Order: sequence, then structure tokens, then C-alpha cells
Amino acid sequence: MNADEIRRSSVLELAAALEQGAVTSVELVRTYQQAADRVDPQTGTYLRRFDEAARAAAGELDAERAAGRVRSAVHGVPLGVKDILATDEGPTTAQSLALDPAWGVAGDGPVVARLRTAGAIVLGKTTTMEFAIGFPDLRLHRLDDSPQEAAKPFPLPRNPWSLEHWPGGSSSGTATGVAAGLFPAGLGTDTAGSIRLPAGYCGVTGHKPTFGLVPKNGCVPLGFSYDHIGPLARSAADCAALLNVIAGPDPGDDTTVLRPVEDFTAGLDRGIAGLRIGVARSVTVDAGSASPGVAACFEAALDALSEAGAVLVPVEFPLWDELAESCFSGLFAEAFAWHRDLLARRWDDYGVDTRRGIAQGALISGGDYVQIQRLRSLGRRRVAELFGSVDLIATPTTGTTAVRYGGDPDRSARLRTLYTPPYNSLGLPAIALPMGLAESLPASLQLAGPAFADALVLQAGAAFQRVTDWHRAIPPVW
Amino acid sequence: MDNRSVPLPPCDVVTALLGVHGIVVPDDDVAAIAELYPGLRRRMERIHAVECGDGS
Repeated sequence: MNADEIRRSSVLELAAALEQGAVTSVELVRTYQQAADRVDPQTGTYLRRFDEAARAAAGELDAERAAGRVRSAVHGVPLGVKDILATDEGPTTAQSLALDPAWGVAGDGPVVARLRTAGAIVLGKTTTMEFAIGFPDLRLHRLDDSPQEAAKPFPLPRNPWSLEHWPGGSSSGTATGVAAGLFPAGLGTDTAGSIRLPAGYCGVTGHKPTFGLVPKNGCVPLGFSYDHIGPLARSAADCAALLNVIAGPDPGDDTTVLRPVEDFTAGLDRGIAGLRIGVARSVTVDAGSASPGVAACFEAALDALSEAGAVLVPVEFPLWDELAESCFSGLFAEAFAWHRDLLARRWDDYGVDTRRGIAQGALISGGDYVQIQRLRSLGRRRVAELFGSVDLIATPTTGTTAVRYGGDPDRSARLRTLYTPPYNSLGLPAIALPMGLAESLPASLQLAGPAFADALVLQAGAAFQRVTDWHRAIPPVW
Repeated sequence: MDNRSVPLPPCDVVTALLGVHGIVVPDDDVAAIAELYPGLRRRMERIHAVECGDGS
């Protein structure tokens, strides 16, 4: 395989090539590192690279393979890891000067450890927003008219489809790295859409698993009852392959559910003939919040699902706005609980927008927080009833394409068109799938399912990607 | 009297609610957080307006 073929390949395609001897893990690591040397200064994908450790691991994994031992489908496959997840190689910053450098020194969290045990190679830690919150602080990067802050040692992530645009967040670097061919897949986290939003903006695939399926310990928390760790990759099939490795309970996270881990790749070829997909237009494209370009891509995506055999059913999604609002309010309350002492000690070390955002959590009363939980409970019941009449629900992932850095008059309005937070309030599985280009930037389809129907969500995503090729599109920065 | 309609003194509220947690915040941050407060209350009032029943 040449370098371009490697960088365009999915995890499963690389696994097949490794199996056939068409490439080695050492060659993969070298190719991705050389690509990063050239591309990363533009995309701001990495906070830290582990070049030597990755080369050493690749050599050992090639030797194992030569000796006849292959650990899993990700044996010898390089990945990127969002820098709020602890890894053996180095410190976790959460892209903040406020986080204690001692956080995460115990090494790999369970999810990273599972990937490493399965033979994956960690190429480096990828950029995020500070503590996985909000929008980049443009005062740090001289992209705003506000008074400048002192420089902080974190790059500004940029979208490979247009360097003038935000790649979405907060799993920004993992999304840009997959989109720009710097690794075939990686890990992100999603509290209100932080896997699906950057996946959507960057034209890659991202899966937020069911809450409780993947352990969260070893991850700097944002909202403990809204946080999810999940994969970003080129395809739904790749997400399934990674989920096979990272799913399953861990004693360090008592929100994980004790249930057998299924093979999420087993049903990928089953297709979606006869599957009932609810189309939630009234809360998204018909609510006036989607751009014409995204709405057009969504209609084309629905046509593709229909051609693949799905039965499309209009649905009214109950409590959509309230579940979205309760996500943001609830996560700030939970974030404040974790950050309280750190805010008291290191207020000035936080970014301005981050500290002000988290401090909102102190303004939410006990009664407010309980009402949020009551609403979530009601929402879970009402949406479970909806899933009695449909198998999955389709919406765009966001109503607009990526936000432009600096002087975008529509920035606030665009950031309000996320269609992701209700699924964090509900804890339901949801996948973001590239569905075309609008204004020369990626648009994204979101498919969501009932609790623990991750395999079905991934199966539908794979079926969609057999009749479309948007997930294979290559951005201008490559 | 509907207590929900009583105007709140946002900066005092912010200072007090952070202060009870030992967090002392500069005035410009207090003012900025206070600006977030009305929107937060509106969101919370919409959430409180949902009748969740006895089972929730």
C-alpha cells in the first residue's frame, strides 16, 4: 500500500491489509507520522504525539503477528485519543492549565487499556476544548476583538474542509485527524454532542454509545450522567469494531451496566429492509433551525435510506426542546460539582469562557436539578413509547455546517442548532454519518435507537454507507 | 403575589452562590455570569413547567 492508500483506508481495510501482509504496523505508523508532520500544523489535531512509543509498539505488534498471534481487528492499527482520557504515555491536560498535572498519572483508563490490550497503537493525544466545554477561546488565538489573554500552549483546531472554520468540539482533534488521514479512527467523548458534532462538521462517522455501555473512569468528567466515551472513524463498521473492544462494565464506573457484550460487527451486513425509521422533522428541519443546504442533504439521505429498504415514518419527538435544555443545565450543575474546589483554587488558570460557563452550575438549585432528573425520567418513558412504533429515529446531526472562526455573525445561531443533546439526556445510542456537502462543508445524518440498540444503530449506519459514499470524501487539507 | 416575578439582583445572587462554595470571583466575571442568569432561569422555568407526574 502506498501512503495515500493507507490514509484513505478504514480500520477494517487496514486490518485486512495487515492480515494479507500488504502492509505492516510500522509502515502505518510511519505514514501517519509523516502525514502529521505536514498536516498537523494546519489542522491543530495533536496536543502531544508519542512518536517513539508508537514506533516501538508497532514493531512489537508486527513481531507478534509474524509469530502467529493476532489479538483483534485493531491489532497494529494506530489511533488518536482525546486529551481528556488518561494514557500511559504522558500527562492529560484536558487542554487546561487548571488541571492538576498529577491527574491521570496512574496510566491508561479502562477504555484506552482495552484498546491497547487489543493491539491498538496510541499515536498521540488530540485537541479538545478546555475541559471539553464550549467553543475555542478566540482571545487566545488573536481571532477575536476582545483583549488578548496570555498565550496558552494549546493549538487551535481547524477544519480540514476549510481552515477558516471550527471543526466542532469538543472531540475536535480526533475528528480532524480522521478527516485529514492522520489516523483511521480514535476516541472522543460526548456530553451534549461532542463526538457527533465534530464528526458532522468534519465529514467523519462518530458513535455515541448507550449510557452505561462504555466505562467513563479514566476520563476527566464534565457531566457524569451525560458523559459518554465513543469512537470516531471513517465508517460505521469501524465504529462497531472499536465498540467491540471498549464496551463492557468496569468496577471503577458503577454507571456501567452488567450485561453481556455483544459483537457489534455481527449484524453489519443485514441491511435495513423493512426497518421503520422515524423522521423527526418537526423539531429539526421544519422548526426553521436548519439551513436550506442541510435540509436538502437530509432529504437526499432519507431517499437513500428508503432506497435501501427502510420504511420512513413521520414522528413527533416528545419533549425535544426540554430534553435539550435540561442537558445543558444539568451538565453545568454536574460540572460545577467536579470543578468546585478547582475553581476556588485556580480560577485565573481557567479560560474566561470555561470558568464562567461552569460557574453557572452554582446558580442551579437543588430543586432545579431534581426537576431536570424528573424530566429525564419522563422523557425516557415517553421516548421508549415512541420506539414502540419505530426502530430508529432520523434527524440531521446539526442544522448548519461548521461555524467560521472570527466574525461569524451567525455563530450563536449556528451553535443553537445542535440536534444532539436530547440523546445525552436520554442516554440513547446515536450515530453521526456524513450525508453530503452544503456550502462546500460536510452535513451529517443522525440515527438514534432505543437503549442498548447500538448494534442496530451501527447496522443502519453501515447500510446507509453501502448506498452512499460521503464517508469516503477527502477534504482539501490532506 | 407570584414570587417568580420578583426581580432578582443577579450580581448579588452570583456572588453569594459562589461565595458559599468558597469561590471568590472578580467583578467582571460576576457581571458576565450574572448576564447568563436570566437565560438559565428561563430554561429552568420551561423545565419546571413540564408536568412530570407522580412517577418521576
